[in-house]
Amino acid sequence: MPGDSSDATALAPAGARTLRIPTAPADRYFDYCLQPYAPRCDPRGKLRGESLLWSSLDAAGVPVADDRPFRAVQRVAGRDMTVFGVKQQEGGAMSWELYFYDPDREDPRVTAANLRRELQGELEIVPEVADSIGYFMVSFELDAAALAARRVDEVDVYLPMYGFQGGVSYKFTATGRDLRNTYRFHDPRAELEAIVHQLERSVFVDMARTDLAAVLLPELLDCAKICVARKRFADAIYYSGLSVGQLLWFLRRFAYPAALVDFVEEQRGDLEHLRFDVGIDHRTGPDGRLVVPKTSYYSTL
Amino acid sequence: MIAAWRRLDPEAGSGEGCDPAAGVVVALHGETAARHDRAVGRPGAFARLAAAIADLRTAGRLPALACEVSIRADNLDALPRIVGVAKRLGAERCTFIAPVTDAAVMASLDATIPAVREALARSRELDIDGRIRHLPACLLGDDAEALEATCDASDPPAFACLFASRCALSERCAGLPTAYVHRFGWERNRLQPVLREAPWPREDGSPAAFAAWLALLGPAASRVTAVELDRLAARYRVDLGRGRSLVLELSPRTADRPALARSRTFDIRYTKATGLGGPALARVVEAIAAAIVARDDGSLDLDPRRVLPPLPPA
Repeated sequence: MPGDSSDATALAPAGARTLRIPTAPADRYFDYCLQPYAPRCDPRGKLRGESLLWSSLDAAGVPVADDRPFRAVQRVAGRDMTVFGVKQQEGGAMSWELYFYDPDREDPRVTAANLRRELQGELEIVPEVADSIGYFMVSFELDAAALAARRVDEVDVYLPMYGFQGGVSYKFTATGRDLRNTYRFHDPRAELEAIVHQLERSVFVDMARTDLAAVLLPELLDCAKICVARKRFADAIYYSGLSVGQLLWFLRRFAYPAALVDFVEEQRGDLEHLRFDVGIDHRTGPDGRLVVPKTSYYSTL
Repeated sequence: MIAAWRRLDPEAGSGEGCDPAAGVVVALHGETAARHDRAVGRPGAFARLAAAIADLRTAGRLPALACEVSIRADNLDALPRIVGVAKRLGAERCTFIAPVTDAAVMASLDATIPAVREALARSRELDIDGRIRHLPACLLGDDAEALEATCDASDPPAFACLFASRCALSERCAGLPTAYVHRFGWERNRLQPVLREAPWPREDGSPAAFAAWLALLGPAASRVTAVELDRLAARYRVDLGRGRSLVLELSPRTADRPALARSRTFDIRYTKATGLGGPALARVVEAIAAAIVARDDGSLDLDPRRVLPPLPPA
């Protein structure tokens, strides 16, 4: 039966975390916008993308007991239906963001209100988000402290643009909501000028002192989609549909923990069927050099 | 015409035991012994190279000689003279190879392209087959013919070009080494892409990656060109040949939604039928539906929660 592997469903024994989660015949493959894709090669006998989530938690020293909110989310949203992002701040602090897409409201369980309701007891999501808001996605971020406390104080809500793939996000808290980021997606094969146009016009990155190649990375240009984001304190670029080799390059380039990089390197052959997505925030520092305050990579849970 | 080539490394032996009919390829890094030795990092390397070539020729084991010349910032001015050395060694072919990973030895395209083209011109004067590797075709003018195609199979890519998807030269030109881009930039204003007419091929993945889902269709699986699994449906693009195609859609089984047929797990529908109609269409889709009904044993479904047991109590 699909997914009936004990590895795929069992909780890790106390003190140990199962990192290698095998594929199953019924697995679906989605990018970080929950757009389906065909695997790069036959996935039989290989690993699910969620293996990257568990390996990152392991590398960050998060207790196995704190996997529980992620497993609860997987049970509510369904296998493959949650995008996770592993984020690393400039100083090395790590966090995990979970993204829930259902723009057409195909699954009544994957709404902000229902997630809040169904996760109660496993994860207290403080802000309330009305499902009547025309969002196409909601997300929330967990760091080690939030995982230990089983508490989410902020929820991001994403509204779609009209006429092109893009969005604008708002941060919801218990007391209010703030405009946060804008996103615009491009086909790098057909819309290169639009990508470059946005990258070269920035209030955070001094492009007079920054070469385009520092923010539009040649190792990652061969990808399915590029998103350029405007954030409150940085600009960002996201590359979608990357190979495992490109992911490894990214992890090394941005100095992710050695244990995490080693895991991907060791499992490279069992991750080659997947496509990955990565994000990089940029701004110019006080000394005029390009700073990368945050990076992230994505797969599905 | 030489059918095979073998590489000769004089530092590692002179190649006895190799196919004597194979041509010999040697690396040549300078127009003087001193420059070659410096590039190789071994005093006397050029002398050993020349001696090994002479030995092979004397032994009748040198049917043809090809020289590979690395293009470096510190030998650009010497490239035409290196061709002269290659001629003296008896080379019939000279390949000028730009560095791919070592940014420290790279020169800008502004400096590299004229030097390499001058070396190619010198090769023609000396009746040597001049070739180029790892330079952008769009900057080589008539000499683009001399560019050997680069197939970049590395992961991550070792080459990139902002214009790859729109340039007609992309099939044989990989663009710029990524190490070059990091040192000298994307060369956006220097590259001269040739507008391509055919669309850039997309890597959409193979339907074979969905083996279990394909197997449901029986013989029609061989006609499937794409499979898409999203939240609520499995969709198969089926190419029936001669311009005839359709999209077959499986969604979770219902009791009452309109469907062509229902299997144990799925409602079966089709959409986007092209080049087919009437009884012919009915025959095709009914045959596929029957295959699915016969093969659907319930082991595949679209319920993402089915295989996940509840969490044990905290």
